[in-house]
Amino acid sequence: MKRIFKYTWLVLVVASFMACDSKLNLNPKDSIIDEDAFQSIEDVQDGMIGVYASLNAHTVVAISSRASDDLRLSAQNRGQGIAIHNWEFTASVGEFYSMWRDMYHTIDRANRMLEVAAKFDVEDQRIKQVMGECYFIRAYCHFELMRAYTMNFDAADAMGVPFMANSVISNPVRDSQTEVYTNVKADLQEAIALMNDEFTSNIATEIAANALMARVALYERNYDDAIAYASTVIDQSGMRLANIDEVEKIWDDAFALNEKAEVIFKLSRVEGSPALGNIFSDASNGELYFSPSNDLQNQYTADDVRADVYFGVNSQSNETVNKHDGKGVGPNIVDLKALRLSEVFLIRAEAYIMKNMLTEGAEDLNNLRSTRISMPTAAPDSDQATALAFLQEERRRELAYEGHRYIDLKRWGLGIKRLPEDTELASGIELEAGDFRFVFPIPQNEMFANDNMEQNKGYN
Amino acid sequence: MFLAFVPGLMLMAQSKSISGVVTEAANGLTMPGVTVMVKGTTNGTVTNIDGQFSLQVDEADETLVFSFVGMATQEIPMVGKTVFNVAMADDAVAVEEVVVTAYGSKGKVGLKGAITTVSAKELEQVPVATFDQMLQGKTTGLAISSGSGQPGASAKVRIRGTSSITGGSAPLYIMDGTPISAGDFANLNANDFENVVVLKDAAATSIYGSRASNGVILITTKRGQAGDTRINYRYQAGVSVKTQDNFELMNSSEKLWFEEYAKKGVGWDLSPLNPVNAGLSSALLGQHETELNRLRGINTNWQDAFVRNGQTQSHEINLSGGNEKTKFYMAYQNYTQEGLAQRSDLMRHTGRLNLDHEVSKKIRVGVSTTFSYASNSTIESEGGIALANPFAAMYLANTYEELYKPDGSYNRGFYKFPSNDERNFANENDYQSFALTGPNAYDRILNMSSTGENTKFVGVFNAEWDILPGLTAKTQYGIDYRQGQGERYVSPDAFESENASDEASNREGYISESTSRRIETTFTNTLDYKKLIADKHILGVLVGSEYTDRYNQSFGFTGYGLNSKLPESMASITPGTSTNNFIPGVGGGESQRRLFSLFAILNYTLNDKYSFSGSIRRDGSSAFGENNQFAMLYSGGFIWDISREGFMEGVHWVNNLKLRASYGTTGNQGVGDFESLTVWGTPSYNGTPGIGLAGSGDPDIKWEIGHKANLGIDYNLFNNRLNGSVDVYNNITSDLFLVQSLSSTAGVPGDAKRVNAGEMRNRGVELLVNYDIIRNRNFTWSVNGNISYNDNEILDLGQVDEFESGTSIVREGLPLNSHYIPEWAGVNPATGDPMYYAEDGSVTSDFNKAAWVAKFGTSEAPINGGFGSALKYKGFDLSASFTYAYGYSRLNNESFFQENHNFAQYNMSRKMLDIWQKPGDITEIQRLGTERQITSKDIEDSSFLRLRNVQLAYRVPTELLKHSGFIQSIRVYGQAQNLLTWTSWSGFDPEDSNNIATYEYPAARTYSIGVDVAF
Repeated sequence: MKRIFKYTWLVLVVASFMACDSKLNLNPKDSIIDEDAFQSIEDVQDGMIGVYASLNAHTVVAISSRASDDLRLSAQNRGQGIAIHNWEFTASVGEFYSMWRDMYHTIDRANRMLEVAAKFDVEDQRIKQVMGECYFIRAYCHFELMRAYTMNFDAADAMGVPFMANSVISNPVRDSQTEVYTNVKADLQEAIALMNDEFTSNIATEIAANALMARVALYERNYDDAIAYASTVIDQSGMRLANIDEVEKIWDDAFALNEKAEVIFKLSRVEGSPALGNIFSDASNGELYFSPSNDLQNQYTADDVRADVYFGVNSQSNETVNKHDGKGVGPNIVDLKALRLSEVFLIRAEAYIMKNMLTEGAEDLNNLRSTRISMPTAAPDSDQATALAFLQEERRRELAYEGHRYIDLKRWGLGIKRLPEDTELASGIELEAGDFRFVFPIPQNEMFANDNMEQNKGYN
Repeated sequence: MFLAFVPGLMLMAQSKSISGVVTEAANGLTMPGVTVMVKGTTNGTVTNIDGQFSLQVDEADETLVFSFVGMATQEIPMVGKTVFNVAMADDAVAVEEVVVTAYGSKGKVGLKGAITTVSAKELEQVPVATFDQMLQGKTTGLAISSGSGQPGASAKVRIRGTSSITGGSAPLYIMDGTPISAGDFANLNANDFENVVVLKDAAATSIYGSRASNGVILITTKRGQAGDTRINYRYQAGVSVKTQDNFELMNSSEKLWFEEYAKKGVGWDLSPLNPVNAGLSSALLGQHETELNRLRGINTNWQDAFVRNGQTQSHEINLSGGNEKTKFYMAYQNYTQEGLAQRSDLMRHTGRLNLDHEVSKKIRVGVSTTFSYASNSTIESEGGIALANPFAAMYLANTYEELYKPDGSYNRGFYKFPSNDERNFANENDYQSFALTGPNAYDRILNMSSTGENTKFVGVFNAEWDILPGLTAKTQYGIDYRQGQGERYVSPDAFESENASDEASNREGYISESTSRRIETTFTNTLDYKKLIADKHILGVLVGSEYTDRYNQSFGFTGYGLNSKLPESMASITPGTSTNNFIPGVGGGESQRRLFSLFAILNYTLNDKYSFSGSIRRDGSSAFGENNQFAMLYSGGFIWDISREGFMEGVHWVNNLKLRASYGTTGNQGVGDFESLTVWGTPSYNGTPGIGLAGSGDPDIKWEIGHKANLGIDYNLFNNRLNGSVDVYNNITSDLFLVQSLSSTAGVPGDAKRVNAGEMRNRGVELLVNYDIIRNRNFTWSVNGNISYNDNEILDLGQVDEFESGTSIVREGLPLNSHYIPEWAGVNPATGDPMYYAEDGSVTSDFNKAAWVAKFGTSEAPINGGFGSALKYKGFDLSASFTYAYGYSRLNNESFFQENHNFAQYNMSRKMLDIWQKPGDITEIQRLGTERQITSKDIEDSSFLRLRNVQLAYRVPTELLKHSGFIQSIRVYGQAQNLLTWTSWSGFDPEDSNNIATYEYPAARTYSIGVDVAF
């Protein structure tokens, strides 16, 4: 008996010394290791879902809304976005970092999926679709960064942002604006070539790529391209504007995903998703951070359905922004509409006006206005300055709180002058045209980590 | 002492009879139960109730061994004697060098180095639930700070300073040879511990390899002795009360005046000075004044509402004994402790069974097991700056708030007084309302709970086989298993549930259950060889392997829509539907890591004077990158026993003098289990899960390496009356885990990755002294003291030379956790504006121009220690022990609220009554309308001296107990814990585990009485 005991023991002990190091190769169970992640085309399609999950464009909407003349501080605000509202911009203000990070991280996710997809059959339509969507996302994010962190395309010695064509840990320098525009347009061309012609509003599509092309061209002051791509969307895609009775449906996300109505590209939000409406109020207790400015509310005529849909009054009799107040899955949770047909109309109208084709411009505006206002006045087409001013007003009315206003003012070379009744609680009253703060600072974290990064003018 | 290694002599024995009496050296009383053994044999007995023994021994036997728990074992040569009268003395004066028997439990190959021991006697019956807190001030090189007075909370333990910035600095805990988790010490009964040994230098710790950089704490539990079964019953009862505090808050009339002055709160809303009230009739103004007077007359003491006197009670029974083949120790304890705060307590049952058995002369097996169940209840938002935290609410609640409504029910919600314009009492909006801080925090005690249950099992099974003379093989399997169950309950009737503003987000109460399991198993095999060569060389070699596996798993759910008729039951959850907002939340996860090690220890001693020890260990860890998966760690130590040198022969006042020197390396493997891997998660878009990047791993990540050098002296002088040790050390941690910032363009989650870069140094001096001032038959008086000085400095930070972390900075050339904050320059008497020092030394009122400076020291105390004294007179025993920490400061985040007019809706410090009001006022309190910033004003010296424990005990004379026939000893005692604290810190408790005071749960003062009875 004891002998058996001893020998068993001996075997055990010897075995323990021999135990091989391979036992140390443990893999997690809560997450997928690199080698296992993408084994089939279905996995690659799942990876594409991961890219959309990473795309968060809320911050640009928050900054652009809060820094513009469209909002008024509420007494219940405990600090949310006040620095932005008062233009106290420094590189360490958190919003500038979140936007920068979210965009570059999504670019990186798209780049990783492009690398993954390239290992599969690139002629397979499903792989082509994934790659096309990745190119679209990469272009979309780079362009969002350009809108926020760079001067106008025609400004002297304007720097761009680093264009990331690969997933790599590096300290990239800022590319020139021309390079970035070239790359963004190339990505969108690639996306148009690769994607199928199905339409779903919450993923990238050929229509979305064309619409984004039009937007990019407008920023590039390339009005011919802007008109061409906008026309592709308006005339050939089958998209239609929401009519006057449907305006509310846009903001309640009531259109079906495959319905070619108004919404060209949006980011779906479900219960538990980030709440876009939190820009204006606290979803958990209803406390109001911002009310719509009187200035903006004054822009609408009484028969403009948009005023009814965009604004409201809460139980405490405070004026509220209702545009993003939720689609019924929880307070303030709503899809982020990134590209809408009305914007494409406004792009084409602006391009026509800039080319002094005032009749065509007015026609686009009238078409849009007839779906928003019951008794619309005609858009002016007498002279370019009046037409442009009207377009600018209409664009403000239509696209309020969608991440455009502040950036449009920069693009148009205009300043901000808030009304006295909008600045009772705010210290930011006037921002002159061309102020350096129309371009956001490169975030502190990036300046710290990346020795090759150059800060924007006016920030240190 | 070499005889033990000589193979048994095969002589035909001639026997003789011996006898004697054993007494206790300290008081001369006879000692029953002392084990008397013939050395090297299994022949032995135990003294009877009169301390007498008799034994048949062989003529060839040479040495008798007398042993007793807590006493120094004595070896008495037998040559030519038959009567042995022996006086047993306490362990404390034992001359034996401390030999820690890592991986060699029978002591053949030991480690010698900077080691200090805390014996059972010092841990027994201390009225705290966790043993780490008991170690405070007991020995050198240990800095222990308790962060919470919550019953069962663990302390922050640092051995020779903090040696890592991001990798974790808690020591490795080993119990009976198997690693146990740091943190659930509330499940262990420290009365079961024989001793706790603190390993500090490389010679002692390096053999524990890649987990030893922060030092090692070895716990050995009690084991049985052969002889009659000894039964002990212990009872202790106590009460915990609040300690003295060091702050003054406003009373109701002061506060209402301040509110009126600050134009904030009820005092302003009802004030005739308020322009809103300008047009009111005198009748209405009179109603306001009546209401203000009513409020002034209320002075609720919120501390009384939230704090209670907590009861503590402990029952324990232990049995030990056995025969030469089988020995046992078994114990059971039930311990209950109520916290100072309501809704905080701990209850535990612990059981232990330690068993040793000799299968044959050459094979021994043993188990050490403990099983425990502990349940606890914790307060809301413990240690948080939150109104829910009762220790915050008791400061912040206005004294004019009332806990009870006039009808005697509990108050909550809002203070309401009809507003001026409308007198419509039915309309909620026509009230001026202020949330009630005190009652709403109290509502959480009534309608919410947060409880936990922990089940822990630690089992160590081992077997030893003496293969050849001097060669022993040992196998050990240890398991540390813990299962935790947590429950969070918020009643649908709670104010928080009812007050949810948005109908959709009110989920009508919730109950959350979470379960976590942690299982760590360690399988160790060693071969241990020792040989005496030519009577003067002792050579010892040990080789071993160890395989450790640690597994964590947790899961939980949260259910909503509770039925208030089924209180605090999972059965009251309403099933979720797509419309009712009650869809339960579920979640879970698991993680694992492994460590495989090979190691060897070599010991060589020449002439008993010169000892060399060396160790080497190769660790492979699953957590490290494939490019750096294995670490080689080593140490060397040298000991010179000066007292054995020839030239010391005439120096009789030196009993023992040893010089120790060591150098070696240890590791810290404090990174995430899978941090080295690139992994993907399953993020959802539009409710559909996909695959998305979750972590970008670095295959190069590896160990932090601690390089430890130590020089020490152990001394026993003047007939052992004066003894202790002195150590100096210099420890450098290299390849520090540091977080390197990355460009966002790299897409790495967090825009940062952990890299091995940088160096940090801890160097210091430790001094330990015990001195017996009087030592005679009936009276002894001893004093002891220890002081540890640790100097921490960051030498190199890799990519950067500093990084800020809140109000602290990590900067090269400074110690870790240095405060970093603008310097306060007082209040401008002319304007009342706050002033700060700017970069150029000038004074500015513009906070943006204030210079952030790191000249206010650190929150890590460089000097720690304790001292005490013990008096024994006949059966009486009086002892006192003090602990102290010196030379550090903490940021008082509490004063930021209490001394800030912008928070005038909450109660204020009376210091605010000195607020600047008019030009010429000289004060430290800035005027209204200025922003109160956190500055050096809020940094306070936290040095403290605390009378940790005073105890008076009486041992009933043995003669009195003789007649009972079965009671062997009775000891009764009374003690006070945390009796007095000397500090300049304002607030409850200067002691904390971090740099910022955030309304932490303070330590209680505990008075207790107890009785120990031995049968």
